[in-house]
Amino acid sequence: MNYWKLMGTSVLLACSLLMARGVQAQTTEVSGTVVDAATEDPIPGANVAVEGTTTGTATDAEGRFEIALGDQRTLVVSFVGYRTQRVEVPEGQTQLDVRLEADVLGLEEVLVTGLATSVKRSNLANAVGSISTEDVVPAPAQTLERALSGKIAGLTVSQNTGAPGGGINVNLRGTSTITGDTQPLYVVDGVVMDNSAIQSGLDFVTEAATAGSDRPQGQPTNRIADLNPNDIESIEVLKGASASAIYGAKATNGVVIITTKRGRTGSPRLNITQQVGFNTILNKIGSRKFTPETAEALMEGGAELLAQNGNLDYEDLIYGREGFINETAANLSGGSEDTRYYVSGLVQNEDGIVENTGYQKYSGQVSVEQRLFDRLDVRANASLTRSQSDRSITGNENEGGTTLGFAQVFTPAFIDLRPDAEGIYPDGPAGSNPLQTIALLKNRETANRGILSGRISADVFQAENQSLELIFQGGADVYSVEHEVVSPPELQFEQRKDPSVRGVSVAGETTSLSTNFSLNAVHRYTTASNLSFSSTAGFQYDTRDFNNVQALAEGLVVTQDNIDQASSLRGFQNRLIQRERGLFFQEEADLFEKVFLTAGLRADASSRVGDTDKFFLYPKASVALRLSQFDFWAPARPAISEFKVRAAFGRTGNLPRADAKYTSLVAENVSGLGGVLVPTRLGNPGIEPETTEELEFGFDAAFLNERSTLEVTYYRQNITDLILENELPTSSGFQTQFINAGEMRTAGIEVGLEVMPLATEKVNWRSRVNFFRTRSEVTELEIDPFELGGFALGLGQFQIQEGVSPTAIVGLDEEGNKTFFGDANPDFQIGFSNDLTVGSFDLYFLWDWKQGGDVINLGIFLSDLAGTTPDLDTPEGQARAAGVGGTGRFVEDGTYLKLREVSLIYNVPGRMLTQWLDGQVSSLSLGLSGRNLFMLTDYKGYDPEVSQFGNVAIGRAVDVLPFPSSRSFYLKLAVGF
Amino acid sequence: MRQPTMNTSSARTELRPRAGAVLLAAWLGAVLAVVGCDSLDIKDPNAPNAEDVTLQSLVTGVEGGMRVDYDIYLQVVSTLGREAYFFEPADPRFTGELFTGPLDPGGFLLNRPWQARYRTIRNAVTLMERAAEDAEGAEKAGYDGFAKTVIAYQLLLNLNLLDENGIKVDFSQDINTPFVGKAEAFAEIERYLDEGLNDLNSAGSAFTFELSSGFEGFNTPAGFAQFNRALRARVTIYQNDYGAVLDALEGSFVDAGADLDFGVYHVYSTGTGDRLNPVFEVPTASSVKLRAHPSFKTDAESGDQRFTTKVMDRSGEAGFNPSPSAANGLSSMLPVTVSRSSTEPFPIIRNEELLLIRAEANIGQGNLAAAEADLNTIRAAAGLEPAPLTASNAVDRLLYERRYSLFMEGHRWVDMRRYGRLDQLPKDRVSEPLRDGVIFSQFPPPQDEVPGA
Repeated sequence: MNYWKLMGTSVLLACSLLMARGVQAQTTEVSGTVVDAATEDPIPGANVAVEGTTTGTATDAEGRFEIALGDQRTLVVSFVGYRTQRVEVPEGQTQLDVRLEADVLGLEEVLVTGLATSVKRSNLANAVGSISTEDVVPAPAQTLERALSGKIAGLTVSQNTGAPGGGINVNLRGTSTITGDTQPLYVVDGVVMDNSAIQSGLDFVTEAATAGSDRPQGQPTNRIADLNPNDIESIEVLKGASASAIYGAKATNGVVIITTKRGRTGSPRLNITQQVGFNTILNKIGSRKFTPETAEALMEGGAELLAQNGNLDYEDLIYGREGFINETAANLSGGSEDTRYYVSGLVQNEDGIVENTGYQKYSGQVSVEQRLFDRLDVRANASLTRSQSDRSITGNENEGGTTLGFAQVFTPAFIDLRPDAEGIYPDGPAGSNPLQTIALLKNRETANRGILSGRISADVFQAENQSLELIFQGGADVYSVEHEVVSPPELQFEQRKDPSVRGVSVAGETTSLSTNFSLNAVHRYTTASNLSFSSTAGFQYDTRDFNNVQALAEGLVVTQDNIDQASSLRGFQNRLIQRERGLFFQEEADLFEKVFLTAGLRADASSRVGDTDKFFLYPKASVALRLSQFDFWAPARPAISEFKVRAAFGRTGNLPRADAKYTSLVAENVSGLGGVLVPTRLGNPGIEPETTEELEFGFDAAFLNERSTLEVTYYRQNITDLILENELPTSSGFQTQFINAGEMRTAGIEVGLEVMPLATEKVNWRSRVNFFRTRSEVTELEIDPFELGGFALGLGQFQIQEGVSPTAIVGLDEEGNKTFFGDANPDFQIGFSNDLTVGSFDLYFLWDWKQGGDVINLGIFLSDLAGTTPDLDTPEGQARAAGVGGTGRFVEDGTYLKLREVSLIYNVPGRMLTQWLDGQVSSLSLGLSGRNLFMLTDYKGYDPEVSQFGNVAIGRAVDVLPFPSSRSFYLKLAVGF
Repeated sequence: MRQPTMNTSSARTELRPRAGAVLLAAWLGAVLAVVGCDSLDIKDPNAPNAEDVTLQSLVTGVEGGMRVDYDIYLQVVSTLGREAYFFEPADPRFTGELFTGPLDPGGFLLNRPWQARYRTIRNAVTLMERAAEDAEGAEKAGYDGFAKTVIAYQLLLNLNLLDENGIKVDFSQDINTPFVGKAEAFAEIERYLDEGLNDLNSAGSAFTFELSSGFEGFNTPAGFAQFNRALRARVTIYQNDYGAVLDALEGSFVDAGADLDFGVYHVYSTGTGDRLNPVFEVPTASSVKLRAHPSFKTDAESGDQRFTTKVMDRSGEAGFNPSPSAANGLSSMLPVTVSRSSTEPFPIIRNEELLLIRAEANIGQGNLAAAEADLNTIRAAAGLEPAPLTASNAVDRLLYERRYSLFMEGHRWVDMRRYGRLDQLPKDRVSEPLRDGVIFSQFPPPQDEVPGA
């Protein structure tokens, strides 16, 4: 079997490396300190290494080090956030002090490229996006993904709904699948973090998935929300296959590598940040202002009601709350040379813009590192999070006005639905009273999650010019998510139902356990002539066990929402058992700090593909040339100090859905007799992963005295074996089957420009622009072209067809002919951030601009149907309501410009702290910040960032009156001890 | 950012393989090798496959499958036959597309019921395949007779939707399989019924499987054969083959002396994996979606109890909106009360229809007296005086009685079509876009059945 052969090879390799022998040399001891060049503060934990060898040490709490020098006399001193320095130590010198300068533009940043190795950005052959700790959450973010918007070229964050708790899509480099997983792989401290989106069961109340489209529309949160953004030290984003190939069959959508904060050597540091604020609706759609004539025309007696009630503002009544926000974050860190720790806690409480909605998160994390016997590093992380979101009921529905959006548009402004003096809610014309729904309906998600991860690295042997390290990493990610959906029988839309099914309560319980283990051997070899090689071989085993149980109770006893207080009870269960094995090998070579070569291969087998014995191969290769290091560059060096050209290739996979290979019979019971019915989807026992091959080219440059960097990348992905849901003629008894039957090409350009226009002692200005665009095209389709997503051709769908963008929108024109109406893919996107420090003041803001990208606004369609669209009394509105333009009348340009993040912070100067607070407080800052403060758009819905169908590859950009987006304001106080 | 992964131990000049570390690594590797070598071939954790289930569960699946999306079928054909409206606020197609067209070959109004019928057929075919492996003789004949009868019924419902466009009868995954025309489709349906009857006749005195209470009185091979012949009567009356109708009725359960509701039903319950009645809504609710066409009131003979029991007339009730926005300009104050609860059984075919079929065949053969007797039986049950039947009024009378007797059971549109009277149905006027409705005679072939569509 393949697998044993590969295992055997890796073991042999590891053993042969163990036998290698080093050479002895004369040594002298050198000691000294490493300090910050600006502040003169000692830097604990800085790396001090002898160039051309694998010998190195780290500075202690006072920044001191001691190291033995052999023939090689050059020390390389480095630390995160500082420019690396090379210091030649003359023969005979034993004392050395090193001053490190801050690396503001991140030229020296070290990035993870393999599963166990890392490389400096300046040597990297891929465009890897990164966000450092201070840029992660300048303004509080409910969930991590929100904090990524606009910060990395090629990364698009778009929320599906504004409901508290998230539900956010993260896309890297455009469309790479049609039916498969769309979200990147999140790796937190080496552990793959589950990012499932679990349906709440709200569809049982809205019946959204019963007619028109049977795809779930509960707009769930995704579980990466459980991460505390404040604990993040850095985020690295491997955007495409060329960078992420080493993650194999799960890496087509890119990999987001998150490193959490760790303790640093030194005396204990305690930081507490308190933020309070509020949020309000970002953008209102408005509603039709009726005149007596139009009111009467819409409804008999309308004029009289209008005289009585006037035009009420239902958006204000429903979405008008100013929700209070409170976030307290604290962390404590410190450690000695051998032991380091980091402890943090978070209490976050946000009220939504709708009464009885909101988000709460409580989280704690402990990280401990211990060095043992001078050869073992042990690191353990544990975190526990509880999050709760109350999301009310929004979006599509088929049950008669159940959702707030439907109820609002189907309620003309002249009807008063406010409760009377006795608290009785009048019946609404939409079939529901949204104010009653807000007051009585519950849609709550509570998640408890624990993540445990550990890493043991052992120096198996070490010689002057080579070393072998064994790294064991393991982790477990366990959570339980509880969903409570209660639609009590008092609600107007429940009253319409038969008493036996009046009142719905859904209790959902999901438990998930994911584990992964990997064992890596890293061999490093350095020659005196400045060649260095790093070889990694490893084995990985992942498991996932997921169990979702839902109980649906109907016919509730009034005032009771327990599922056993009902006249009927039904149960649903969905389990996932997944096992994966991977083997990998990677070789990295650094030739004279000028040429960098990487080659790697990963082999993956998974329980999700048809042939579970088959290993799928994912190779990668890359080359980077630092032209500026060559002698011929010397004349150009004053102007352009760094110039690197790079090219990379890689292949990744995207696994089929776990159920794609099974023909799973479904229960069809008849009054107590157990029956089974063939499913609508036929299984495919030969299904294989989708494959993405990416070729990436680019260059990186630093110029203007290294105060400016430019990164330009072009990439091209060929996606083969696309998994498509082939439509079978339904007269076969089946509707669909997943098959590997297509190819797609995605190409794009990413440009990142970072400039420091001002860098003086008092004033510092850092400005960053990301530009990116991506284009996809289906290049081959073995099945007939088809429409995907949406509800029906007349309501706008997406066309999958050879030679056409997979996000192209199709519909019917006025004559009923199929016509293209735009594309959901944006023309380009730009993120523009600025960080301006003047004395003790720090101003930061981030603009996010999306140009183009069409959205199917079915909200307009519904309000036209209801006769409540604001512009219905204009000629354009009337024409649209009359159907002029066919489907195109509600396909709108989704261009927006958003002010994502703003913060203005005052850092109390150190001398004042000393003066006033006796030096017991080491840092104190206060300020104001905001998120999504401003949006400029012509889009007529709440927010062009929308997806009724959640995180799907094709079929986003469908707007059915979601929970509106909000803007948030915060007041911040941070104290460090 | 991340610190350089660098070896941070002090420089050492001698080579020292770390025994402890090697030991640890070997141990971890061994542990990993053990946990990592489980088989990756995992059985479907969520559902059984067709090879493992019992024949009984396939039988029940076939029975239950007939109910899948039958609600949509009824909503659609009763709207097209101007028997009822369905004011669905969440889906404008019930009051838009069905009135103004074009009928969408890819839309769910057609595709959901169409697919559900073939899915039930697929289950029945799977049942026969499994029965061929696991059963023999009378036992196998029982499964086959049951399966073939259901297949015929399911094909007939789809033929009702497409009419002259025909249906597919090969149940093949090859999209190029052609449609067969209406006549050939009828022949195929009759073949299934007749083969099914043969099987039932050799299936012994009892089935080896259970059917639900909806088949009470029909759950033996002989009883089921009566159901089979009742369907045969319906198929033949659609072809005006009056002799064959009367022959088929001979073997059915038609009985002028029996309860008109006696027959074969779909049953419903709130139990797990079960379904609810396809037409029931609380009739007193303010936002009832399914409402009878206003002409059902204006055309009713005074005192016709079928009108008073099958709808609730809320005319004049303040606060009950006859034309909610989902109505698209249509209006009705007549919630449908054909079923009284969400678990009430819903008929597949019952005695009243068989009497009407007999009357129709007799009219076709000129036996007006026999027809009049059956129609009067039905009128009496509805609290109406007997009405004389003449050659000139016979078809009108028949269609009136069928309309009120079989209201919401899916017949009106088919009846008016086969008598070429669709143009007599009220067109109705809708507001978006403002225009008179169209009376459609059939659906186009579903998009998924036509290559390149």
